[in-house]
Amino acid sequence: MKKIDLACVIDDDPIFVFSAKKIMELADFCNGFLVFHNGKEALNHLKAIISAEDELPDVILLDLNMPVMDGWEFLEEFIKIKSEKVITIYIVSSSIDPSDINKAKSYDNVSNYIVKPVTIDSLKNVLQNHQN
Amino acid sequence: MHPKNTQTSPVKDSNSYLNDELYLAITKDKAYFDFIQKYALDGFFIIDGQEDENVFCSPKLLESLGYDNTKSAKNKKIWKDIIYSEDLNQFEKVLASKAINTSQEENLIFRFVHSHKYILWLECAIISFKNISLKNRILIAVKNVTKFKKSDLHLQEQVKRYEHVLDGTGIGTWEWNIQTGETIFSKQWAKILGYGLEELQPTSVDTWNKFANPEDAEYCQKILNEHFEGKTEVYKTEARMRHKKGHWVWVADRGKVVSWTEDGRPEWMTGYHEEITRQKKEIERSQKFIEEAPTAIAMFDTKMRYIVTSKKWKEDYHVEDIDIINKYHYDIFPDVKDEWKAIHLLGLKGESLLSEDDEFIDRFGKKRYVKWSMQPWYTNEQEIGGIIIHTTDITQLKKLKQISESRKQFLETILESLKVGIVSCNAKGELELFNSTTREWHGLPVTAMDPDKLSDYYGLYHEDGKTHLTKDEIPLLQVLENGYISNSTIRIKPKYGEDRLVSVSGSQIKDNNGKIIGAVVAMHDITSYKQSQEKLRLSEETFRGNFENAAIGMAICDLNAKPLKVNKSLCSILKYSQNELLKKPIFELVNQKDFNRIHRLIKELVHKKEDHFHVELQLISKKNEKIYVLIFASLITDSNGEPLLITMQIKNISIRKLAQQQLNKALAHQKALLAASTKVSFIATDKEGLITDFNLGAENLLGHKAENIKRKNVLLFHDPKEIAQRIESLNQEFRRELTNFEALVFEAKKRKSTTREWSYLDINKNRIPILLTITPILQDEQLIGYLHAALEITELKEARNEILSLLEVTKDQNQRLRNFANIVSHNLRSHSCNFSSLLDLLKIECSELNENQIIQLLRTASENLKETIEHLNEVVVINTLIKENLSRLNLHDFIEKAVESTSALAMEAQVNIEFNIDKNINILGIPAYLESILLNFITNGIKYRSLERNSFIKLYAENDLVNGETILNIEDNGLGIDLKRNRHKLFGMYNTFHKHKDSRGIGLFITKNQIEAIGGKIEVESEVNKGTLFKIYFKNEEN
Repeated sequence: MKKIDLACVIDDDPIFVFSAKKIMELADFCNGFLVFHNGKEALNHLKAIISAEDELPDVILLDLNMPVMDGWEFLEEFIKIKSEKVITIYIVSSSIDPSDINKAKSYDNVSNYIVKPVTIDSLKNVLQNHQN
Repeated sequence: MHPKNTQTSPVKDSNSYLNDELYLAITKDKAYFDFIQKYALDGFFIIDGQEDENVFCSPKLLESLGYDNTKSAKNKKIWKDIIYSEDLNQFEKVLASKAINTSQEENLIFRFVHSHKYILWLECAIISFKNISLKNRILIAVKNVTKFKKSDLHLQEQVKRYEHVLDGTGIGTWEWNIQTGETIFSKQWAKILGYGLEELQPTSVDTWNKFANPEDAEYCQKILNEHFEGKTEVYKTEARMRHKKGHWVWVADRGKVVSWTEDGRPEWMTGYHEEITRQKKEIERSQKFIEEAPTAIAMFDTKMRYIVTSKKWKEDYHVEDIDIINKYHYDIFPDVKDEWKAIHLLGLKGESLLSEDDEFIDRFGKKRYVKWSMQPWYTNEQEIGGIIIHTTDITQLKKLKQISESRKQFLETILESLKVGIVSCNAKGELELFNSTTREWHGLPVTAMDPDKLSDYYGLYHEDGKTHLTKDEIPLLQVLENGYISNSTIRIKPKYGEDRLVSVSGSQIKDNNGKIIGAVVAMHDITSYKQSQEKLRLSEETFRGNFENAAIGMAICDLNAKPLKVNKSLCSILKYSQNELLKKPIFELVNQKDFNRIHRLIKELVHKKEDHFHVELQLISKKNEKIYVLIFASLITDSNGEPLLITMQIKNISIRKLAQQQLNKALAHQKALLAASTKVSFIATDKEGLITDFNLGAENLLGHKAENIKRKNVLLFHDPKEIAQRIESLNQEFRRELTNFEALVFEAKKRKSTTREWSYLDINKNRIPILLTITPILQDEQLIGYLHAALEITELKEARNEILSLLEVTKDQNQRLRNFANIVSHNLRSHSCNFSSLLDLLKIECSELNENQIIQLLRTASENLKETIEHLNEVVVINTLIKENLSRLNLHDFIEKAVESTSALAMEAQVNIEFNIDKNINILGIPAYLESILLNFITNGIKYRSLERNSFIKLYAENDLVNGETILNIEDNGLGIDLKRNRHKLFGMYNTFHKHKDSRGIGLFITKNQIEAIGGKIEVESEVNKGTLFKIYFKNEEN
């Protein structure tokens, strides 16, 4: 199974980030990852990466409920950025509100909606989809 | 003994002698002249009384005796020569007495001898007279009676001969002097009785009496008296007389009175006896024969007395109790008609007669009919002895005949008077009867002929009038042969007279045994019918077109109002097909309440009391709708004015009627409202706003009395400021100048009903907020006024405000609930997830801690927290879900799936799951919810099964079409629930009713919420240790 080069986690919950990193390692998910604590921070960094023509992440795990710029606002801005690289976005949220799930489906860039907690199995699924 | 022939002339000078002798006597006494005149037809002679020699013979006398009358007229004793010698003595004696006696004349017959020596009988009248010298002379006038005397002699000879003959025939004669009793019987008379005549001497009238049967003698006496009285020409009787040998012999006795005394009493009677014993015996035999005859026979004598009758006669004429023998027929039957008496007389004269049919009145006055024959019977002497009458009572027969006769008459009369041609034939096809109509048509009477010639003779043609009917085509012969007619329309073209088209029907004539004895046909003249039919055809076609396509419903009905023809419009009005309508009299179509009316109208029409009617009523359509129609019906009569058909035009006026009815209903409703409502104010005004009605509600609201406020303007109750505002806003909108009232009724005037809030000012000028509805009042599409309906809304307004604030609070609370839900969903869950993630990681990284009990408990707590949050979340999600996006779900498929997915569980728990769901049932729901609901109930059923018995779960559904629901029943025989204690908590959150390790208490709560979220509801029936039945109501139609 081929690992993902770079994964990006956008979440304001340090416990989640901690456990996510741990699980990614355990699942042998990626070679490296970027962590941003809100949408704004993520957006700025990613824009900088694009303009610097640095390495962009292959997968973004995006939380919805965040301060400063939440997941939805990030999505709105992010889809405006033109990038040659296809970045797969997974929404990872504790919300099981169907309206959130349905809304996520309305974005072409969003591959799936993962309900927290993230487990090794769910990451392995992501990995599998990514290779296909 | 011949007288001497003298040649001397008796008289020389007769004239002078007669002068001398007679003159004086004649001139002196005229009697002498008369005497001569009377008797001296053949001459006379005068004798001198003293001198026999002196005799004068008249020349006539001489001539009569064959002498020359010119010779001596005076001859001496001449009579001695001319009188027959045997009579001479007698003659002289007479002369001598005359010579002495007076002129008394005397007539005697003497025999004289003719000169030719034969005897002449001369009647001599002798008288004496005195001559001129007064000497006595005797005048003898002579009349030649030889002729009479000879015939007398002849008769006497005959009598003698008859007596001999009588002796030979055995007839015994008798003579009887009734006055003296002297009797003379012949030998034969005695012989009949076995006697010699001398044995009976001396005979008298008693001789007869001695031998006669006393009984018969009495009868004979009666007959005899009748004869004496001149009632009968001949005495004629029969009597028994005693024979010498002691037996009776029958004797026929005939006799007649031959001389009468001067005083008119019968003197001599002669007659004869004839023995008739043998004949009598024969008659007796005949009588016996007649008596025993089985038919009615009577034998009468010539007097119509009964001799003998048969018993049947007595029976027939009701005379069994009467001894009628020897009685007169006319005494027994006094009413015998004269006609019969005449017939009897004819019979007695020798005629034989009979009658096949005669009538008479019997003894009891009843009319009877007889067939009779009558003939005379003859006695031995070939005389008519009477008559024999033979009768047969045919009264009964006659009655029968009369009945059939009258029936025949009746039928004949009918046949003759019918305007239908009737022809009949016998079994051989020979014509038997033409009635008058047929004769008239053919111009010919019925004539026997060969059937082959019938067609030509009677001018029988096919309908075309060109081809003759063949023998086989003649209807009468067809009927006779086959019993049916193939060409029922034929043409009769008589040689003289008009052509006729006739319609023929016929039948065979059968006798009582069903044998065909002939045939009969009836012919109807349809010439004019055909012609008029042709004429009618065109107009009828036109009519039919109109009829069929008429926009109005039309029906042609018979006199029972049963349609014979209906058009399309009528069908569409009533929604029936044409065929269905043709089976329904109009009475079956009318609404029951109109039945009597239409029935009466039709009856009047049919009885020609009216020739048309129109009526508005309700018909019932096939779809059971009541349809208002206007029926115009008229009667069609035939050419005789007899009712024939009824035509009906039926117009659907339902819409008009319905509208009218609705209006009436609305009006009634409004009236009722207006009158009864005490809470709502109704004020009706005219177009100008003047009050026409003011109800109790208005009185209550405004404090005015209706009677005081009528005809005042409704603006009286309005706040001028409000009206002014309204005018202003309308003005801005429509840019029109309006009066106050126009502003108030602005929309209503445009015939729109409007409702707005206004204020009324009551009698005390208190402001009352109202909700005012102004409605135009229309009559026949014309605006005639307005209805102002006002509801006081003071309280309503307050209530509304309260509700609005409540709504705000609720909204607020709802929002908070939503927030709470979000908190639960996101924040609480995030923390919980972190806990479980961290614990998972700890488990991996610090595996030595796995046995630590605190860590284990932390894990359990984390799991419980996670689960609780999930449940809470589910509840929140359901509650916040809007009832939309419901889709149609096939109940059967979902249940099948649910049962399948629980099958492993069920098998393990040994629960039998059955379901019986109609595959066509669809319900409204959300797939995930339905799955969840079904799984929840099934797993519950398995979980709470009873271990004491074989468990089952049954699922079955029923549709409640009325409410648009499907009821799913889920029944188990598990542990059950004590509903008395737990019903109110059953579907609450975190309630469990079983001490079961899997009980969580959240299932039913969520399930109930899910059911309600998709518009359903749930009911439960349960009994502890028996089982539970859940009834789940799903909506299966969108509301």
